[in-house]
Amino acid sequence: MSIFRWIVTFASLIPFGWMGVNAQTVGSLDIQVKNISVSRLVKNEETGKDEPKDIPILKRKRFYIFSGGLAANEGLVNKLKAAKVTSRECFYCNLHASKEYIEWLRSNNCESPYCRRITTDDIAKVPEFQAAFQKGVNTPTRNVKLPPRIAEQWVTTNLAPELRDGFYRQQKNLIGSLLAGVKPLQSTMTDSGGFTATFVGIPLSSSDPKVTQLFTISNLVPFEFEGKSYVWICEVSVGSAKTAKLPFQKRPDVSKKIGSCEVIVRQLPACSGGVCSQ
Amino acid sequence: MIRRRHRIMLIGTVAVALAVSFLPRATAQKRVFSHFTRAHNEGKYANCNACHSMPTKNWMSPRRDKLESFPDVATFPSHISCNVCHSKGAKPDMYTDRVGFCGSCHFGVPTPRAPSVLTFPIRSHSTQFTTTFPHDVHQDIIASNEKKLDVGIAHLVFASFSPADNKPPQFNNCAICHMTEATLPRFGDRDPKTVAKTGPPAGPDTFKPKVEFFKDMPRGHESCFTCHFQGIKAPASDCASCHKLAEKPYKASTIVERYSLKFNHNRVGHVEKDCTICHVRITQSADVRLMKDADVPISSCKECHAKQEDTPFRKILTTEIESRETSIANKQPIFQCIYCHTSAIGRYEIPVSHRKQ
Repeated sequence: MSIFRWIVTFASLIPFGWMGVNAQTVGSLDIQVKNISVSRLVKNEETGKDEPKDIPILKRKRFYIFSGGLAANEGLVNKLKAAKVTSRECFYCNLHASKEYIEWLRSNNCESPYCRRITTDDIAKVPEFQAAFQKGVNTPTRNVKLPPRIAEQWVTTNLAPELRDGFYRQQKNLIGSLLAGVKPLQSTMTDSGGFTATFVGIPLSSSDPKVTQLFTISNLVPFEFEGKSYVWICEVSVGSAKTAKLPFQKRPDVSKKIGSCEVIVRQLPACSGGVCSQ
Repeated sequence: MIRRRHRIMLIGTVAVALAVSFLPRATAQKRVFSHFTRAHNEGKYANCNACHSMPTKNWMSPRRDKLESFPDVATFPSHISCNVCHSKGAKPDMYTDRVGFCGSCHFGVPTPRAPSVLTFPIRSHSTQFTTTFPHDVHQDIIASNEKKLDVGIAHLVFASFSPADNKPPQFNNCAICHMTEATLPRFGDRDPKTVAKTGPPAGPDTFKPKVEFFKDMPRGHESCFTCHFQGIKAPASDCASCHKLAEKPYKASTIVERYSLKFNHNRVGHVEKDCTICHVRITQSADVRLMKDADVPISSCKECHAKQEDTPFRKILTTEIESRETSIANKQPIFQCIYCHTSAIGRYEIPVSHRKQ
């Protein structure tokens, strides 16, 4: 008898379970983050004249999407505004990295030595790379002294930890502290060709074409460009018949609200003589 | 009556054959070392380094994969790892089952001068470990497939040669691990599990993809150790960071399965694009095995192929859907979407995602 009652109870719960699931996701939507671009004068090869050209600058940056609009994510917005952020240049400056190392990173907008291939020439010029190379060749690791060919290719394995992935770990820690207790629905990166990031299959709670739902999109980690850093916190309203594309084309000089976006702008400190100053 | 006797004999023969197949194998059979036994994966043996050296002494020897030698796990653990347990007890199998025991790593009759060690790892054996590669973390670290589109081409009248400085930087991107295949891999259609399997039988399809349709992937440690030999997590000595004991031994498939086998990575319009324009989900994935849907969502294709333009390939997705719907409305043989798919996939009902705006 008790088993029968249990079966009846369980069976009666199933429709509610389904309804619960259905109430959460009745469909999904893709949301795109479009690029920021800056206008530059570029020589037209055919005419020989300098012409303005939009150059996308938001390459390979991670964006996060959260349920609810700006009001629902007020805590996160406040945390982002109050966050103490160390810029890339200051991070390496505070480590007393050589000017050659900082220049190697800066010259191709790299955040870490994993950004691009370290050439023989780089090893000769940058003291940190030279030291790492020498360590590989001269100091045995697990009874192995690396042959020069491998020591050159594996130079990052002998770099000082902070110079190697310290900046990445700092950014991870920043994201961890910002997201404490908040779980993003998804994160995605902008590509380096079309300069678009796409959130795929964001769950929607209603298939009614008239109903829209709010989401918040942010890059969390400031994006650095030309002496300033930028964090966008944008609200999008989407529904089964309303898609969203966020064009981040405007770069304000100071923190302000642009449309449905809060933009946090910070002046980046400069590294001079091994000291980071505002 | 004779027929009945024949049938009984046949059943009897099959039963005997089956029973024989379940009999224990001869002790002379070579053993396959199992990481699944408790004695091999618990206690101090939970640490891979208890037996495996990183790197092994023979790492400078020529490699089977023809790559240049690098510090790697290139052979089996040394005898001392086995001796600890297998040379003791009432029946030390190291001495009592020499063919079976030694055959795990050696071939022929090993002697001190000619140890006759099998090539490590033994490819004919089932895989006992899974490998995890968090693409999302690596996407955060590596840079872009940067193209200096904004820089004009200089026409030099007089120039001097300066080799290193003028080389464009080689940004680390997906290509450090994934290059166009050198030879055509074994390929097949990937079963679209979420699509309704209704539709006509597959039409004749003679399509054969070319080698440039596929990208390879690392088969060993060569790409990993470039950054992970030591220092950064996970270092080469920490095997368990990337390798986990599988639930049971398995044969990893070498067949490359695709929903859209006809996609050519090297075609103009595709080749110049950054990988993550289409492989959207890869930047989000901590483990590709957990990815439920296609790595490339249909929305990536729509960006270029569902336009309201006259060029056929710019509206091909729309055209294919219309052709299928028209064929159904006119009660003609159902159109199969074979511009991107082979007919084995293109015959199925069109998924909702393809129609969505």
